[in-house]
Amino acid sequence: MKKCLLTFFFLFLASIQAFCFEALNFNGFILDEANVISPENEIALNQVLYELQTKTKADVAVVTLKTLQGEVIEDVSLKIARENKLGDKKLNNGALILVVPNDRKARIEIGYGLEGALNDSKAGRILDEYMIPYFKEENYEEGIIKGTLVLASEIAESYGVKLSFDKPVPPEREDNSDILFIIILLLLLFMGGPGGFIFFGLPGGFRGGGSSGIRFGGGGGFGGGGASRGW
Amino acid sequence: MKSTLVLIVLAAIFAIGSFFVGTFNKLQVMDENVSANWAQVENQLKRRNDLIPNFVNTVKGYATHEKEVFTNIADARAKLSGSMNSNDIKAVQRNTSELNSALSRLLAVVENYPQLKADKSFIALQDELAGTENRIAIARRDYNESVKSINALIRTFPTALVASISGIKQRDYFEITETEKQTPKVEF
Repeated sequence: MKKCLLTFFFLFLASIQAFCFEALNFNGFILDEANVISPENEIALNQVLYELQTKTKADVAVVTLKTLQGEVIEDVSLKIARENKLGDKKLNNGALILVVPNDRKARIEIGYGLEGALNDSKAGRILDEYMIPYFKEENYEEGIIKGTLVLASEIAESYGVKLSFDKPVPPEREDNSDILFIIILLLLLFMGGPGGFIFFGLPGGFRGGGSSGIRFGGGGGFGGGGASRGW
Repeated sequence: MKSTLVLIVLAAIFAIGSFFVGTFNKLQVMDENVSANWAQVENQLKRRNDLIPNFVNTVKGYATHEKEVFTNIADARAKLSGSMNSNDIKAVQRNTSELNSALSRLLAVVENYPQLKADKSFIALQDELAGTENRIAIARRDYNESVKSINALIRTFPTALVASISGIKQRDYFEITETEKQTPKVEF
């Protein structure tokens, strides 16, 4: 009887933990609650963002939600950014891409330290040129990938750092660079494959979900910079 | 026997004294925090004030017949910067809501000019304006939260005692008027 109770107790504890994870289950830099990013691309994006973090200390988080639950997207994104402590505490260089497909709303939230490099109109342009065109076709994954890569390269540029991929170009003028983009993604994929991580020594756990070795910077300031769009 | 009494009295004085100092310091820090948050509100209001002329000029290029809207904005903007210079929180509040309603009328006008809405530089300015509106809202919320926590402390015993001795007063909220709650936000 005692044993039974004990087992029950531990099961109970385990279920609590499982629930907590579900509440805020960042896989690396990504929280894909709406389930629009494939596992392979999640790995690839995480590698890009990890590279950005190691080179510049800037955190870019990508979050998709099933619903805003009636709240305004600006409030939700600020809450996520502040609560998960994005960005270095001194440099305030966090940023967040939030996409809510069901509510047809997206926002790029920019921390204090990045507002100079990425002012609101630039954030709006990234949304307009790289993300919304895909979102309109319900191709959320592509829009998120493009937006994240552009955001990451803009941030890297502002720090005078080069990342290991080229900045994508907007969909209209894309004819020849599309292949390049695919090559880069494939390259990133292969590096993340069973062969191991050739270029970046990645902390494990990107694939399994749950706790990974990635840590956000510790809480940079956010004051509401960025831009929002509906489509 | 006498010496124990003296010891007890000394201990009590020490306890009260350290409570006083601790609370005093805490209140000072919180008061400073409220001031810093207010500075951030003013900062963002000023940022918007600086943005408005550019924004209005872009709209003017397309909407030439809306003189009244433009003058209203210019007046409200001038009043607001006046009250910010004089550090009068109540006046800042009043003039902010005046400017808000003037701006929302301008945004309603914009709806009638599809060409303007497609203008790239207008879109960029509108993003900046919307971002600043959002920053103002957040700065205002942060300020109000800090006011709430210091006011709650000042109202309750025994911190109330320390506050009244050290002259720290309750701070004013930056309230939102009923009409402002209904003002449309800058949106696409």
